[in-house]
Amino acid sequence: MYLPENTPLQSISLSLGYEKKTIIQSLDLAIKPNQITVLVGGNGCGKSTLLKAFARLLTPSAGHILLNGSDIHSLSGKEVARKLAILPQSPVAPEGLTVEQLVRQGRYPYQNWLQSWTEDDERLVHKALSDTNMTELSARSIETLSGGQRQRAWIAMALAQDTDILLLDEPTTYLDLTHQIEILDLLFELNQNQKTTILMVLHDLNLAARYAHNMIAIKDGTVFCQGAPENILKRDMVKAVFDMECHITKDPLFDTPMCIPYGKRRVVNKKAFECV
Amino acid sequence: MDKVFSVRNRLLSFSMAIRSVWSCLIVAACFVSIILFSLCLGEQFISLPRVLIALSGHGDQDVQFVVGTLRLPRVLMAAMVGAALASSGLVLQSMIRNPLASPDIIGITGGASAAAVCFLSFFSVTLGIIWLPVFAIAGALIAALLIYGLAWNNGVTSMRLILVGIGVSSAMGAITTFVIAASPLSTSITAYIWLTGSVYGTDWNDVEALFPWLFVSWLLALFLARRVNTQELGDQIATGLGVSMQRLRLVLLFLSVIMAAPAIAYAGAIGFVGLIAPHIARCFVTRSFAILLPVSALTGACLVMLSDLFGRLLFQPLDIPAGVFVSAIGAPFFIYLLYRQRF
Repeated sequence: MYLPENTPLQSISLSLGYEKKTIIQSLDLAIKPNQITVLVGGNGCGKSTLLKAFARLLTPSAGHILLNGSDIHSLSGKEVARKLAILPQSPVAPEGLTVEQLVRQGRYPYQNWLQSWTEDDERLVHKALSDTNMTELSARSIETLSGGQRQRAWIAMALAQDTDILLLDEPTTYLDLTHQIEILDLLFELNQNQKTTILMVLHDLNLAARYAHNMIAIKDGTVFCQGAPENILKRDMVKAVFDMECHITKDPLFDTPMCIPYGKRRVVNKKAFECV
Repeated sequence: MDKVFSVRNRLLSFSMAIRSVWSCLIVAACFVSIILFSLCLGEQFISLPRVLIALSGHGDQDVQFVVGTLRLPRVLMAAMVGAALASSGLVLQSMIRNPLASPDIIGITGGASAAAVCFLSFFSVTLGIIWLPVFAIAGALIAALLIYGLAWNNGVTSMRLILVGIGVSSAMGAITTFVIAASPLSTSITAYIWLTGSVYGTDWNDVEALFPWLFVSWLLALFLARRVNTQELGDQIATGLGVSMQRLRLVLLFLSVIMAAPAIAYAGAIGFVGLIAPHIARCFVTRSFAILLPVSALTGACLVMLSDLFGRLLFQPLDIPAGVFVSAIGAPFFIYLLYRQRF
């Protein structure tokens, strides 16, 4: 077995499939510690499937997922939950559940029958609520919140889990621009302040390029290329992975690569519009 | 944040919303009041002080007989049956994550009924009546295993459980009707009363036989309480937090059977309690299973006790089975629930 450098999460010869369809075949992938890694790729390329496999939500048909060197399926559910938190796509909260009740659930892996509200539990729940700016909203029901607030509540729950690794499946889909940036900024700060290893699937290539330390492009269930966005986000990569012609330029605010796709457009008078 | 009542020491730590604790105490007070009411009222009105004297073992022998031998076991049985069915309904609603789930809908009651009716029609002459609860529990277990087995597809999801449960419940209903049609008239009448649900003629043996089932199942339920709360967030989130969903689902299904089946065995197929008691409880307390369980149980107990009380009082000298009044309250409430669901 090839074991690369000190990596908290990796797959060895991983094969995954649903029913009779194989989605991923014999994949070796190592996630770098303390960095934000983003999986990008077209619809159906297998990125969500891969993320679920890393999160122990899917059983591989072959191969292994290693968490800190141990096979993830040989560890107990609670052991894994103390090291790795997953936020799936579009989670649904039961009716009437308040934000605080939801965040308290994040402490489940550390509790048992007799000890269900220790000082650590209380401190970490309050910390999670304040890190996500949800303290004032903690008594509200989840379904009464806006999309961005709701997502922050779920992230607060994952934060209360106090893990080194955080996995998120499309955390910004269905959110408007303000809330997308809000969530991604929150995750970025988390990585900066607490050195959390973050692995997420994002659809927006440009946001991925802005926030990711590493980008992994998935095509047809294999890794097409991986590395820092400025090294891999190129015309040929976008053409190969997304089947799309584009122009790569530098983001004027952040100097990260920005992808502008070709396609149809309406005619705009060049003089009538100036960059502000 | 809600004001909480918390306990924290080396051995034990937990916290609970104060409002919920108060609601629980109020419901408990209602529960005790209804017990005392039921002991006072009946064919012969006995005033409260005399009831209390009789309970302590003193006073008039006749009053002691009426209170201690006739009424008290019946009231306790009604309470236990209501509590058991309500608990079973709560467990199922939490496990299936659907507020319309109950032992009736998912086929547990149907299985117990089919087995009990078979017994009453074919075996009650050869075997003693003592075998009726055994048949009912066996029938419920078989139905539950059948549902689980048919819903299995590399694991079991809540949706599959409820769909298969509805199917199995219908099949059990068909068996029940067939058996009644095929059996002699005398046993049909007994079977019908059993199906409606009644606590008439309960004695202390029955009460003592049912109580251990309840006690053990409630201990198990409280032990699983945190897991039940967490799994309500969905399979993926719960797995991510460390819950083993498949094992939990199987255990919860088994738990709901051992809660409901013995109660159905002794009192017959009282419907609707498992459905509506948890809903009423949710109006009073927060969504935590550990507090919902006792409040649902107490609510279910009150419901069945009141129904039995009405059955004894309203149409004297007839003794209407408790199940009739539970349905009378339950059916409109069920329609109201359907109306409120955002379909």
